[in-house]
Amino acid sequence: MSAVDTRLPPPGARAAHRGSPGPAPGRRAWMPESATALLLLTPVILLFGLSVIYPVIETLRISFWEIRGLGRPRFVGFDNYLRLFSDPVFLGTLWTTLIFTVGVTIVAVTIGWTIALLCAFAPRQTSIFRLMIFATFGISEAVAGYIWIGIFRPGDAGLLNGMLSAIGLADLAQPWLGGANSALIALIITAAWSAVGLPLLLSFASVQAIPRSILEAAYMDGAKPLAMMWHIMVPLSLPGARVAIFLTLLSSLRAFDIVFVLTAGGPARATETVGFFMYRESMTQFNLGYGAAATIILLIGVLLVSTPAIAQRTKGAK
Amino acid sequence: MRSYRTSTVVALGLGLALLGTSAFAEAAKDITLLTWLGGPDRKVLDTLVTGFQAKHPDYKVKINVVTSQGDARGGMRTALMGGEKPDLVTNTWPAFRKELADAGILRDVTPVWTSKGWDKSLAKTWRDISTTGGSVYGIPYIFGYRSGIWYVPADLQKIGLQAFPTSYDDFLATFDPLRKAGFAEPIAMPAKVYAHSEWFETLLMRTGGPGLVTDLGAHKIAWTDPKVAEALRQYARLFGAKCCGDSKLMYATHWDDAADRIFVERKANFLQIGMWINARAISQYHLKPGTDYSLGKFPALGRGFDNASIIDAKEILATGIGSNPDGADAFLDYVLSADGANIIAKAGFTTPSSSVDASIYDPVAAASVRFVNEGDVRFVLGDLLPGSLVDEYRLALQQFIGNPTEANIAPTLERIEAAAARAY
Repeated sequence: MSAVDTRLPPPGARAAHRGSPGPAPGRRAWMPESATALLLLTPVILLFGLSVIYPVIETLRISFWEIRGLGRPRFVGFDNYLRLFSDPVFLGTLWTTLIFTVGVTIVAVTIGWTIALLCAFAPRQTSIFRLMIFATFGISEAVAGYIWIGIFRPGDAGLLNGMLSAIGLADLAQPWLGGANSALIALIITAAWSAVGLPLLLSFASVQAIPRSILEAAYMDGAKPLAMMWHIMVPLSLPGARVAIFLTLLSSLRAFDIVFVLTAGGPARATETVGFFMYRESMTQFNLGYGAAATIILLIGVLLVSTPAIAQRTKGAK
Repeated sequence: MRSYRTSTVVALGLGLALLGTSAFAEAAKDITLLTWLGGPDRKVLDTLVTGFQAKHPDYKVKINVVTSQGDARGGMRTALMGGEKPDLVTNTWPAFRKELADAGILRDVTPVWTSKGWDKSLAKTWRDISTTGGSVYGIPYIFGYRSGIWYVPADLQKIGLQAFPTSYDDFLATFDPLRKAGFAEPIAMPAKVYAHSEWFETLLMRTGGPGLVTDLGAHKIAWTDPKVAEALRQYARLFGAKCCGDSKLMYATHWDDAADRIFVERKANFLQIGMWINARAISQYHLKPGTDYSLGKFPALGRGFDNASIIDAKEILATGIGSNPDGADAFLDYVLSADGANIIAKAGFTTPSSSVDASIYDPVAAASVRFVNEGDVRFVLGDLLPGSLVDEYRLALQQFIGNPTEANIAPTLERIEAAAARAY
């Protein structure tokens, strides 16, 4: 008698082998594996369908109609889309959104990543510091907007102007939210402040995952802290920073709350993003169809940004 | 056994029927009011409801609140499109009133107005501004004077004035001495969102009269009309006389910043905005109305319309989709009565109802009522114009104050007219 059992494994044995609680060997599963998976996924599919798929389909449907206030809707086909791309206000918001998104991502990720690298040299001692910075990520964007309104207020009542005056730089004090460029920069700073916690957290986790032996070897070879940071920590923490870039890009593309609170899109629409345009058209002017078309354009933008990143992550998972 | 079952079923059926009847009877006494109002405005509604229910114990008023950010019309529309069937709705925009009427949601209360004698409580001008297409759909219950200028009497005393200037020329002439007296900006112009349009709108009223405001609101005349151009020219005179800070300061200023600069920082002197400054001055700045601060009547241009006022008003409209029109009418009647009007006045608001006990008002509120009663009233343009035009109108004015020259008058008005042509 051979020592090796050559019989075919009973149904469910494969699952049991992987550690999942499949039926005991010799017992038939009462439901096929695929049906079980489908049953378990059904609540998620239902929830996702109701909260994501249905609103998207409905928004797409509305985008083909002209709906003004409580008046009777009128089917207009692709007119809303054609109008959008000949509307200088909308085209302006696309440009503003691009500057805002890139600006916020660069500022937030650079600061978050740099702080994460610096904190890695003394992780325990900087834990409170990291917690404080990460806390900004927990503050809602609307609240962040109100906090920064106080900072950017015109006159000495504004914290920034008051500080400039206090240190003898009163000439630099100005109504920060009153100029087209300064308002956009102020908006980027506020949004980056609000977002910096996430890049910090993700980059720090990446830095912490670097094997200690590599850093110790570099130290033994006489590498200086700056060289270690530049040649070892930066490249090896890149995956965390990449995820941070992706998530910050996505949230900045959809920015609305912070714009609404801080600048209301002004002065003279200089800080109006696509998210704010969508709100203004849909909710204050109640051009639901036109606003829905802008929403679909924003959705396409978000998909364009997220698809390559998701594809790459999925490939990595394989 | 069988007869026992039958009698049980019959008894249950009767019980259910009775329950149903009583539920129906109760529903018939319910009055539903749809509003977006919160804070002190909501508190007034709550107090009115309490007073009404005490007087009419057979009715129960249910207030459904729509939560909304920014322009509350969005939330109200969504609620109504989503199937809400209120008996009453609050409103503050004549343009929205028309939209609701066009959609068949409102009920004409003209016969009720006559039968309940609401003319005794509301002057003709209030009925006029409550009328849409010849029909009246409800009553105004709170108003705010928007042609008033907030100031600190002590500032004027510094330049030798004991009273607020009465003519526009005299008003402009205060700017230079005020600057010399150390004030950085005579007018704190809040141009961040909408408040810069307040000055223009009263000038429009003073230049062309109530008819011009009504016609412009309905787009019966073009924005390029010479009378509108003249109002904008008078507006430009403010800047020519160095009323304000630079455009960046104006664009960064919201009305609350402007109020702070006048009453807290003491760097500015004049602000034209609604009556909510009164509540802010008392509760936040702890100032005494009539002494520490005051409200001046917009100075006269001498063209025959100097007693007309721009106002904002909140109204309660009756709908035709609710289940209790009689209850709704009874509530409207109560709001206009002395009991209702006094509740509003005690809460610090001003009411158009002449049934109010005027001694309840503080000196500033009393002055605003006096100014309004001197002549015709019209709504602020922001409430009269269609939503899609309001933004463009305010933006065009915002850009005008960046370059308030004669050469920029025609392009500014042409831009608003182009937006108006699309909006109506």
